[in-house]
Amino acid sequence: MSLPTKRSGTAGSSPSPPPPMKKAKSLLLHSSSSSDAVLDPSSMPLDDDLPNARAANLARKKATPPQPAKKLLIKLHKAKPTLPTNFEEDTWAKLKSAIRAIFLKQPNSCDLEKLYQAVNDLCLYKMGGNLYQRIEKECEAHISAALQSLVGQSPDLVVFLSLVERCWQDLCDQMLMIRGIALFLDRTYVKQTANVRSLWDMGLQLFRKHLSLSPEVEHKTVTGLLRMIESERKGEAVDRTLLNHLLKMFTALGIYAESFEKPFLECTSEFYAAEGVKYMQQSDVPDYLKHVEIRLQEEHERCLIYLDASTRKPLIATAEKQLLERHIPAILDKGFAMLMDGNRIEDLQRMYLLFSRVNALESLRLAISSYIRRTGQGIVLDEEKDKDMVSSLLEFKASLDTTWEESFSKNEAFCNTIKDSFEHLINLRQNRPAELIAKFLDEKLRAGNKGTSEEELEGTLDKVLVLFRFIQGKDVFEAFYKKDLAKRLLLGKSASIDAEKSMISKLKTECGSQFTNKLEGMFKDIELSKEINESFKQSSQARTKLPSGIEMSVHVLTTGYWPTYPPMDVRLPHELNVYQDIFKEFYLSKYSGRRLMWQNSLGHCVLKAEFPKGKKELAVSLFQTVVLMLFNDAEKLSFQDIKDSTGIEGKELRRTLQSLACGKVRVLQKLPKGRDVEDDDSFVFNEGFTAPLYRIKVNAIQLKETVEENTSTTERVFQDRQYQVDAAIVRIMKTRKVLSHTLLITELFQQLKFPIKPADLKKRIESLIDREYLERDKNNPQIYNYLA
Amino acid sequence: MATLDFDVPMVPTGEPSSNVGPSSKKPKHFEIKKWNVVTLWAWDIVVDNCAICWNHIMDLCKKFHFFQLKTVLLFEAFRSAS
Repeated sequence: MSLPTKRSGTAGSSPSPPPPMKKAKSLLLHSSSSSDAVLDPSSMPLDDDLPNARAANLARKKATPPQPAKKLLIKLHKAKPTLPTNFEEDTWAKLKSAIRAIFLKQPNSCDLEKLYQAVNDLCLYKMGGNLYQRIEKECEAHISAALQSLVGQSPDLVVFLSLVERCWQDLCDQMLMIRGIALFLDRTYVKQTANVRSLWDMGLQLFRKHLSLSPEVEHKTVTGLLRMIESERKGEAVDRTLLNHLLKMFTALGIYAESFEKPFLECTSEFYAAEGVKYMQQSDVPDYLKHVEIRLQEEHERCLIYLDASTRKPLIATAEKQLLERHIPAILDKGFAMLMDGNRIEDLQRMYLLFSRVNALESLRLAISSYIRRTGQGIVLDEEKDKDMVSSLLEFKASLDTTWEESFSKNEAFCNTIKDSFEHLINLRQNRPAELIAKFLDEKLRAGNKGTSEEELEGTLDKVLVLFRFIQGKDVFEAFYKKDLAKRLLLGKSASIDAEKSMISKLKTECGSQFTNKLEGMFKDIELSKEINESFKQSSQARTKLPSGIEMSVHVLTTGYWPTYPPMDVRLPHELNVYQDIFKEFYLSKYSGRRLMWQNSLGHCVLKAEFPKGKKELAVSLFQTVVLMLFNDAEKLSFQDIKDSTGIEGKELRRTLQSLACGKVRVLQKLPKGRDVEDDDSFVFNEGFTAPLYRIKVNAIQLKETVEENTSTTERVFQDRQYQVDAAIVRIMKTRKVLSHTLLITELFQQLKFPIKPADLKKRIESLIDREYLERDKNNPQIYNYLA
Repeated sequence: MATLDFDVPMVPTGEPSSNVGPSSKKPKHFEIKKWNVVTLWAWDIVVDNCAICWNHIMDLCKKFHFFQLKTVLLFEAFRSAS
């Protein structure tokens, strides 16, 4: 090619422009055609060109400008350009031979470079289409033969799978080599033609086609894979590399999902369904959940090691469903309570995490609710263990909170469930829990409770407050708390006034100022009483009229703030009467318009006692004092004598005498001896009294709470609730103005927090009608009108 | 025997003597040293219930009751004066 160009250039320069161009074109065509057709003709022009070129040069040197040179004549070659006969067939024969050699793994005489060039040549002459079809046909023949050879092969599935893997690997190697040879075909013909696969894809498609034409091979392959995986699940060692390669084959062929994954998931489902049933029967719940956790981890690893990534999600879901989801009720029934009882934080955490994977947290939440109610019911309703109810509930709540924080990830819905369940259980029993909480607090706030530090006490109060928050009949709590508080304050038994006020502050925060208004009033009364006593000592009455010898201390309490105490008449010794009258004069001169009501049942004294065997100081109640003072003037007194002289009513007197003559400390002696005080008994001063301590307390029985006392406290609460009912009725009627009986009752039940009978509501309504808050409608007795 | 006879007559004589002695000299067995008294104060009126809300005078609406009571007392004082 270059030579003709060179020659034409030379020729063009010498003659005139137009004619040389035409000649050059003609020469070029001729030359090109000639070279393609036959090698020999191309070489001949080369030999001719050289002399011509030299002649042209010589002519240029010799010729003079004015005169023209000799004309050159170029002879045109007439022979037409033609491809060699059988070019395509011959070329294909070589390629076919090579392809066959590749598939049969035989050496080939022709080197790859020449084969590549052959493909290149065919493509240049627009023979790519034919070539592609021929290659495809040849590949199909061999691929088909390879797959057919697998039919009827080894019954051992593992061996069979190895053969399949080798067949696949060979195909990959072979197609890569063929693609290498026919690379030019891929880059030209395949790209330029629609709906034609690349050589590699064509190979895959052929393999897939013939695999489906041999269902035995495909089915056996899948079966083998499933069997191997099952073996691995049963703990046997399997060839994971083999699994990996074959599954990659399925993916590459595009039949992974349909041919393998679908039956695999079905087998997985069956496997874990069977295993789930078996393990649920033979394992306890913690072990079962551990097993589930391990299984899920194993399946996850399987996806990383040899399964396609797309399988992970449905696979895990299948395992979760069969091992976990369908067994949720059985798991909870069988082991949940046991785990909660044992505070099995780790196991419960595992349960929570696993359940959250299968959307079973709602079931778990319901199980928690049932557990709390059942367990709590055991605590609250067991009357024999009332003494420990509050501390047991506190422990139970603390345990639940720990589990909630550490095992249940502080789940919000679970927190609400714990609260709701606690509220339910603590109100299963009316009043008693409220009473016991008040007593528990009394125990903590009393002076004997020295073992606890301030921080610990504060923490305990906070925890008890949580229980208090759940109580519906809070007025019962208030009544009992108030009674105990009164004793602590009046008898000086509070461990810490700061702690007392802290508790009041918490209750105030919880329930509002109205709830604690009276309790705060109690503290105010105590403080005010100190001031009054100081004023009294400095007063003119005290200085001028008061006899010396008795140290008097007065608590002046506001009616309504303090628990209701039964009025107790008593004839005081003369010296006490004097003191009382003088104080009264002082107080009423300072606070006009008031009257004082002495609470003798709450008074207490310190006596100096002279016994033949030694002097003693006695701490006694006022009633005990009144009785003992009689023996200053008499040796022996009958029960009736004492009753007449003291004015103390029978039951109280019996209790008082019992404490003086029948207890551990016997200041008096009873005749005849015995534990109970009868009407016919007599009493004498105990001449032989002796005791190791100088100061002796003789008021144990007086402070002991009785069943009657508790019952009366409860009844007073119910009495007070009438006010709340009345207020609710008035509030409703004031809003409605006119309302029927039925609707009024319905609305009352909604507003009132404590249980009440319709009959009681009816009574309150009648009472309000009597007091002219309401009236019955004249036309319809079932309708009430509100009166301003 | 004679000694015993001598002792027996002495006992009756001794008893009256001892009876008289201790009773005349005997100190009090008990003496009050301290007295802790508790008393409730209330308004010095006959009616215990509020005329407006019919609750106990010392119960609900204490401030209101206090105000009301001051008014009542003032009125009573005025009437007494006249």
